[in-house]
Amino acid sequence: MSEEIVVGIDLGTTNSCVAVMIDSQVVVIPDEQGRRIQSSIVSFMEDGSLVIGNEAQRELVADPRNTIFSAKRFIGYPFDSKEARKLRAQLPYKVIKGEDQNSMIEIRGEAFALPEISALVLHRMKDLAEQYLGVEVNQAVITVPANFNDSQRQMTKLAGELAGLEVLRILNEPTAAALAYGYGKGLDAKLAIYDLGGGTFDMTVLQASGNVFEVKSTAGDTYLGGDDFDNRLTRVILIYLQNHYDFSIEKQPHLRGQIKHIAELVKKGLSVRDKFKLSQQIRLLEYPEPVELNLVMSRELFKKQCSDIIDRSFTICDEAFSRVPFDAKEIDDVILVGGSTRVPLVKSMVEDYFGKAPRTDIDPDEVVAVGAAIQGAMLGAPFSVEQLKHNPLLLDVTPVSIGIMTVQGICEVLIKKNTAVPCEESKVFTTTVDQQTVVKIQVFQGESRVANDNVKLGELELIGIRPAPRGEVKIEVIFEVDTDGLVSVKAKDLDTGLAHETRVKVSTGYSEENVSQMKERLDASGVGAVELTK
Amino acid sequence: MSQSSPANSTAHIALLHPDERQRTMLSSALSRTCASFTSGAQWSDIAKYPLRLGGIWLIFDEGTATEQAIEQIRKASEQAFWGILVIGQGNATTQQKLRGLGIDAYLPYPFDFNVLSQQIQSIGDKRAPISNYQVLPPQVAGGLDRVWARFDSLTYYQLLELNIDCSLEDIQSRFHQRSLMLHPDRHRRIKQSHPPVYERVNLIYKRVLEAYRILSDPLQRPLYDSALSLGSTRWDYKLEAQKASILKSSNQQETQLALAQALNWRNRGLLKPAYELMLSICQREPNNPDLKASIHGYQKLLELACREPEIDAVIQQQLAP
Repeated sequence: MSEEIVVGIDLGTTNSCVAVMIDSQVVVIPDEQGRRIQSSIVSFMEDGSLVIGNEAQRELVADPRNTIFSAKRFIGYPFDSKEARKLRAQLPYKVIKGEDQNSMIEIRGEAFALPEISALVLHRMKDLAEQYLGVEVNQAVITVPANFNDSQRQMTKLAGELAGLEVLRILNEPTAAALAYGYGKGLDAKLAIYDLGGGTFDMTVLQASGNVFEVKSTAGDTYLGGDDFDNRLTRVILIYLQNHYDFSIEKQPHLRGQIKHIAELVKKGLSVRDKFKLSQQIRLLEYPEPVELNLVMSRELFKKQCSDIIDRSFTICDEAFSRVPFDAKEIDDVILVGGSTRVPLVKSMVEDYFGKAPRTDIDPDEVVAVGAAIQGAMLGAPFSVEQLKHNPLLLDVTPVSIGIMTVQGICEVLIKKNTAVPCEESKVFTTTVDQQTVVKIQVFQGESRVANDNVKLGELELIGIRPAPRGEVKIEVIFEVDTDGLVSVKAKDLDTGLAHETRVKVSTGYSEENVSQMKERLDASGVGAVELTK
Repeated sequence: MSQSSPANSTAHIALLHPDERQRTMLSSALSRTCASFTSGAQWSDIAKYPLRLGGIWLIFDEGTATEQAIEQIRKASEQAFWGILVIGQGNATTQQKLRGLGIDAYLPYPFDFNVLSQQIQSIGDKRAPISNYQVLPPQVAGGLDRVWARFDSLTYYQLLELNIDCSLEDIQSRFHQRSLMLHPDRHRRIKQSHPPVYERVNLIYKRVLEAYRILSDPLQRPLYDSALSLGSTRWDYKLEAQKASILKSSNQQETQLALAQALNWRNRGLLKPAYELMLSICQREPNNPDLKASIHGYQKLLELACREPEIDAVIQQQLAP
C-alpha cells in the first residue's frame, strides 16, 4: 500500500490554514498572493458568484449583510439557546431558524446551513492545496476546538464531506499544536497548550514521551476569545462616538460591523505599539458629511477593558490542572496557539500564571494546521512494523461527559470527560411494563447534573423487543467514543448475544435529503471549478 | 489477500449429536457451508479431529453429557478460539450454567438455519486467531492471540506485562509502548478490509486503556489491588462504590489515598500496617466521625487475628497427650 496525500486543515473561527507533509517536511500552503493564512469569510455577491477568504474581507464593510464571518461560532448551538441569541445580536447578517433548532444563515432570500458555509471555506483550502501540489486532494484531517461536542464535530465532518473531502480525523486544535511543536524532537516533557482563538479558548495539558503525545487533561470555553476583545473595544469606540455625535445605531446596522473592524485594527496596532492613534472618517446617516473619529488608545486602556477576559481563561486552566497530579508551575513548555495570543497582555499574563515565558519559536497562526498535516501523514502512511514503532502517535481524550437521562431528569454520566479515546461503557436496560416492545433512551453531553441543561445528542430507541413480562428482557447498550471524539451506540440482546436493532435520532443532525440538497447546491455554485495549474 | 472472515465458508466445524439420523441430516446441510467438517455421537468419536485448525463446536444439548464434552474440549484445546455453540431445548437455568462453562451461545431448538450461520459467523469473528488472517505482522498477531486466549481472566498487570509493585513510570511507558502497536490510528487501513481484526485489536486496546486508567490513578490502584486478592480482574461497580464511599468520608486527598491503601493492606491480610495507617489517618483528622467508625473495624480484625495464635496454642495444649 502506498502513501496517500492527506492535508491538514485548521478551520478557524476567523482564519483558516492548510498544510501538507512532503518528504517528512511540513509545508504551509500559500494562496495566489503568497499569503499563508486565509480569512474564514464567505461573501455572496450580487451576481451569484462567491468570494471566499482574504478577498472577502473588504466585503465585510461593503456588503455586511451578505458576507458571512465567524459562522463557526454558531455551530452546535440550538437557535433558541442563549449563546446563539447573544451572538445574533452582534452580527450584521441574518440568522434564521431552520429545522430541528438549527441556525441557518439567510443570504439574498436563500437559507444556508452552517456546514455549507464551512464547506465553502474548506473547499477553498482544498483548491489551494490542489493548485499547489498539482494533484487531486481527497483526504484531510480537520481541526476543531478541544471542547467541541459530538454534534459540532459531526457538523464539521459533514462540512468536509460537502467540500469533497474524506475526513480521516477530526483533531483537537491544541493536540495538533502540541504535535507540531514536539514532532521529531524526541521530547520527554509536560506541555501546556494555551489556545486563545477568535471565539474559543482551550487549555490542554499533555505529556510528550518520545513519539507518543498523551493528552492528560483538557478544559475550555466555547465563548471566550479575541472577539471579546474586539467587542470591548467596539463598545469603547461607540461610547466615544455617542458622546460626540447624535445618531441611532439601530437605524444603521452596518455601523457595528464597521466599528468592530476598526476595533480589530486598534487591537492589532496595540500588539506592536504602546499607543495607537486612531484617525478615521465614519459615515453616519444623521450627518451629511463623514464625521471624524480621532482617538488615542493605549495598552493601559486595553488592560483595563480586557484583563478580566484573560482572567477567565485562567479559571479554565485551573480546572484542567485539577485533574492531573502536578500543577501549572511544573510545566516544561507553554505553547501559545491562536491569533489572540499575539496580544502582549495575554503573553504577559500567561507568563505570570505559569511562572515561565511561553515559547515564541512557533507561529500561533500556522501551528495547528502543521500539526494536522503531521497527523494526516501519519494516517496516510503505509502499514508496516516500522510505521507502528516510529511514527508519532496522539493519545487524546473525550472533551465532554456523556450521559443518559434517568428519573427526574437527572443526567447519569456514563463516560466521564477526559477519558482516553477510544472508550466504551455499557449499561443494561430492561422493560418497565409487561409486553413492552420499545425502550427509549435519551443521550446527553455536558457536565450538568440536570440533563436538560446539557446538550441533547439524540434519542435512542430499542425496537422490536420480544414481548415478555416486565424486566425479563435484558438489553445491553454500549456507548462508544471513537478517536474522532464522535459518539456511537450499539445494543446487544443479552439472551441471544446478538446485535439488537436500534434507531438513533440525532437531534442536531441533518437528514440525508437535506445533505444531498446541500451537496447539489454546492456543486451548482461553481466552487471548485479550479483548473490544476501544474 | 487472505480471507476476510474465516467463519462460515472457511470455518472448521465439529458437530456432536447423539442421534445418528439427525446427525446425518444436519451434517449434509452444514458441511457445505464450512471448510472442514466432522461429526460424531460423543466427544471421543471425534477427539482425533485436528484441533490445531481451530474452529467451532456445535453441540446438541443432552444434559450432563454436554457439560462433560465442554470440559473435554476446554482441556484438549489450549487456545480459546475454539468457539462452542450449544443447540437444545434447555431452560434458562441450563443455559446460564452452560454460559458459566464458557460456551459462546445457546441456540434454542428447533432453530432457523440463517440464525445458526449468523451465530457461527459471529463466533468466528470473535474467536478466530488474528494470525489466521495474515494481515498483521506475525509477532504482533501472535501476541494479540495470546492475550485474546485469556482475555477475560487477565489482570491489568498481566495485560500490561508488569509486576504488581511496578512504578507509575513503568505503567506509563508500557502503556505508550502498547499504544504504538494497538492504537486504532495504526490500523486504519484494515478497518475496511478486515473488520473483525480491526474490531478485536480495538477491543484489546480499549482494555489496555482501561488498565492504564485504573492503574495510573493513585486512589483507584490500591483499591484494584485489594480486589485482585479477592479474585477480581476488572474494575467493577463494587470498586466504584468503595471509591465513592472513600471520597465521601474525607475531602482531604491525602486521607483518601491513605484510606485506599489501608483497605488494600487489610484485604491482603496485612492487618498490622493497615491498622497503623488508619491510626495515623485518624490523628490527621481527629474530628472526622466516619474515620473513627471505620477504625473500629480494623481494630477488631487485628485483635481477632492476634488472638488466633493464642487460641491455636490453647487447642494444641488440650490435644497434647
